[in-house]
Amino acid sequence: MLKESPMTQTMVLIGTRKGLWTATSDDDRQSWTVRGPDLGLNEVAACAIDTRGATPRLFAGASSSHWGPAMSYSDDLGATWTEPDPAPISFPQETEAALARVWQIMPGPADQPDLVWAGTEPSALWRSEDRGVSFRLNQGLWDHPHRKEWEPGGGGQALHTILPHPADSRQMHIAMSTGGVYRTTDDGASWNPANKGIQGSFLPADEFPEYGQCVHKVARHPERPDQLFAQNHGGVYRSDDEGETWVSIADGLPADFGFNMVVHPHAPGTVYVIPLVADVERIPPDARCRVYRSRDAGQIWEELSRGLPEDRFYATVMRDAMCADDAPIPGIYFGTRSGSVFASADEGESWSAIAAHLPDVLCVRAGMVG
Amino acid sequence: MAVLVRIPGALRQFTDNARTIEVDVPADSDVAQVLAALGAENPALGRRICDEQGAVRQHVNVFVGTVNVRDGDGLATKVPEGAELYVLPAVSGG
Repeated sequence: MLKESPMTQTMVLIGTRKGLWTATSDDDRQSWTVRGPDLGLNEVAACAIDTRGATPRLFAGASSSHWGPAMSYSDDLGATWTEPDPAPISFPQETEAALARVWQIMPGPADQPDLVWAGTEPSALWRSEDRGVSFRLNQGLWDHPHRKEWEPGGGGQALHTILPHPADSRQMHIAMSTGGVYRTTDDGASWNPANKGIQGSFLPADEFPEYGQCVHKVARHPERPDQLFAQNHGGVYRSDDEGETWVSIADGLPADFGFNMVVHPHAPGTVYVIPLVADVERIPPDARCRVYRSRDAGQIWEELSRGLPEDRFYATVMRDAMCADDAPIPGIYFGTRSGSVFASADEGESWSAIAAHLPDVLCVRAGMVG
Repeated sequence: MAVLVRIPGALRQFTDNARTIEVDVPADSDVAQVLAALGAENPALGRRICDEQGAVRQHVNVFVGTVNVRDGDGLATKVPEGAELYVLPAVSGG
């Protein structure tokens, strides 16, 4: 008797300046069905696919330029969305702050299926213990004495990266623009900067400050929690000691500016970036659409281009608009500010466009949902 | 007293498509009290007009009759008996 193959469906959430689209594939990412927009043409800067529960839960942080931010979830793969009441993320009155935008939604570890983290503008970390229905402000970071010196980058003062430690729930790294990388080892009660070796070239007095860097994205592989990779506002770095010190791994890249840093889900030391010429010239080097991959933690970089546009290419990729799925042979995805989404089903070896002519893409997340 | 609040089309998804909502507030209330009563009755609608600190969102205009409250006393603008409150999106965006 033939054994039935397990059902597999891959989903890509595509958050754009004007709404959320979903792309789904039932044939191992060979063909895609794109649907949208959802969430009322609001700006979707953060989204997540949480596959830990019996039913996948999708999250989206959407903002209207008129009506403000909101956070929603869907338990039916985007057919309907629920905005909890009261609002999941709401600054306490004594902070005198108001939520401007959700920048990051990060499901917690598999053994804590109700734990979800969020990062916001203004820079704050939020913890949910009811799978994203309500969040509590991390007071230790909010009260940090450095706060008054964190300055907004071009996109706003954002806490955009959350990296819970895969094995120790008391440890976590977060990253902000600006502010840099911070680390807690006491479950968020206190936070210390972790930027030694990361340049702040836009700072006049000290190019290697303790904090204040404009780190664009940080990533790490769960099997190598001591090893982190960072794409900085000028500079690409690796740390082998949990962020205590960083070394440049930009040699071999055509430029050290960019926004993305994605780790291969099954291969520690394999990372992907998309370089841009410089902070004052935010287009791909030589106007060519290229992804760069290192299989050895940043020592050697290889250009990945098969299937990507050969015409002159001027679009940029935002910090959360690149991701990997969790398939056995993982897919890599990125969306551009020119409204295209490109996918690779073979770890970046070859690419194809799965969506085009969307509003500018702000975030993509992919996962196996069926 | 009862104050009639006129709801713009973009927010009627939160009012079952009702164009107006009537809220009851004490006599001599100001705009802050009317919006607080509106938000208590309909939180999803309320937080689209004001942020969690009670400030009217930057690109939202609130009028008492024909007066934009930003040209009056802001949230402390008094709402006279019989006046209507208009919530309108500002002409902005892209």
